[in-house]
Amino acid sequence: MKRRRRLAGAIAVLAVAVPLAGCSPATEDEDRIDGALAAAQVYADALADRDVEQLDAMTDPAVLAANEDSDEVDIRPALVDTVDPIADPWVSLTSAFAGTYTVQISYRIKGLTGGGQLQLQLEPGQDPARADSWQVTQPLIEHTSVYADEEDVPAGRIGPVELSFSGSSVRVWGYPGGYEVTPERGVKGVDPVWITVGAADVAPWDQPFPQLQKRGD
Amino acid sequence: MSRRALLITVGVVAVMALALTAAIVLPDRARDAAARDAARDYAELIASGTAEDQERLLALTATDDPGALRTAGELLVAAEQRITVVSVDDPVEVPTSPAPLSTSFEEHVRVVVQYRLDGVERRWPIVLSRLPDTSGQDAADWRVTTPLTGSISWKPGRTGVRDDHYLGATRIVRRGDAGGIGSEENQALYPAVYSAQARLDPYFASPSVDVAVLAGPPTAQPKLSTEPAEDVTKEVRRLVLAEIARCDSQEAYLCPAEELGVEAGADTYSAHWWRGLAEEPTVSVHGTRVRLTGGKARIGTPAGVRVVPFDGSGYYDINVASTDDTTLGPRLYGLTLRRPR
Repeated sequence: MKRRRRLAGAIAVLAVAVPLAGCSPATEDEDRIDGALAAAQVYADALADRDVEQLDAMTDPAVLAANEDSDEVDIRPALVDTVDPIADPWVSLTSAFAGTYTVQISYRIKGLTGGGQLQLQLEPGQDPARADSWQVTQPLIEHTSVYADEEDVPAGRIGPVELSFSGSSVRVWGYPGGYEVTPERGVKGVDPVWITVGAADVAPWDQPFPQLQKRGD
Repeated sequence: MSRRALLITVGVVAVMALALTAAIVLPDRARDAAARDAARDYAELIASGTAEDQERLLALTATDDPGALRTAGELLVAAEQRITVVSVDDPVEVPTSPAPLSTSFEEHVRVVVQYRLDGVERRWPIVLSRLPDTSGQDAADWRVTTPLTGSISWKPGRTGVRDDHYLGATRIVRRGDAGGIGSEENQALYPAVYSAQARLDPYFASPSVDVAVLAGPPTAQPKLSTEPAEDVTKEVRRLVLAEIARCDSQEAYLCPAEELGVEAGADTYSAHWWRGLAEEPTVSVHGTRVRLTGGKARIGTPAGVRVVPFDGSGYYDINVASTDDTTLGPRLYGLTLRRPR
């Protein structure tokens, strides 16, 4: 009788245990996910604070080098002069796979919205709770064009970065924000224009396309 | 084999079979339940549409353009009417989803959401994708990768002018027809009834028109007929008086009262035949037509200065051709003054 009860008990345990074997909890370490989200928040806050040193320090140098090798003008140094830095960033996890954490970031730039996917990896053996333990392998770097009437405005600048208009536009890359583009010194009758990097925008009906040009053209 | 041993063997085999079946079926059922819960949470957040829920709504979604969905959330908060969730179907596994390129997912399911909007029930599928290395048995393991959104296919508006379109108080900047920066797509919109308006501030505005946007293909833009605002009448009146003032200037050849002067007996080739207005006309605009009534002009004739009553007509349009913003706005043409009939 005792043996029969033991047998019945063993069968019952088996009946419960086998199905539960397929119900394993999420295997991704919660601490790492929390750490990745916290690091992404530090990154977003650095964007909002125009802290280009912090952003660059968090980013994989190879990723920055790949952009530096392109023909586009690097406007990262202009971040400190951003007229309208990003504001109110929201971060959320969209993927965690093979040690790479993808975090979705959205933000505002002067009433406009933008965003993208940031990817981070934890440095081997480092504490996930520390932001400096993480390396950004896919940064929030945006590419856009700056326009000018090259006949009247052969050159301009965004903050400390000089732009040379060999055509009607020049391609640039840098961090999201609202930037002021000014003509080079000595060019008169040309107003600065405001451009957005990393947010969708279209000018209202009564405002011209943002382009450096002589007034009245 | 004894009868007892046979019974035990059969029992063990039966339980093992049951357990193995359960091992396969129960996790699947748990995954289905979790995916459906995630879909329901998502749909209910769209239905509630509160400002406080918008960050959570976006966090349930994985998208290459989170900025567009963030704006969609802001527009949803201001919508005139939001959906009611009727039901959320069981998930059905699908091979792929247009998930963001930079993300990785291991499994995709389609869930049909049935909702009521503007008194009509609709059904539309969304796709949820399971985060890698998760069991999928928790709603938090899933992200919406094909959202419950639609859009409006915006039209340019007046000939040669691209109207600014508003939903509520928000000017829409993601317009495929506008050649803007950062988006070739029309603004994604959660299903809801929105208040739409076309405007050319400060000169023209259409009445606000409610438009029910459904999830799925673009909704046709409602008819948004812009009407002149008070500022356009003021500006046209200023342009009319400025053009009449040309009659006594170097630009007399552009004078709109030449016919009136000739009829009154003036030599309009001589200087100073135009002696100004005795009474300014009333200027009104109707569509693109301009009407003048009740004006009186002083006209010099060989018989002396005569006060001549006049009406008039002309047209105006909106000049957007120049990039010089001082010339943007109403532009007058075809103005003629004549004696009242």
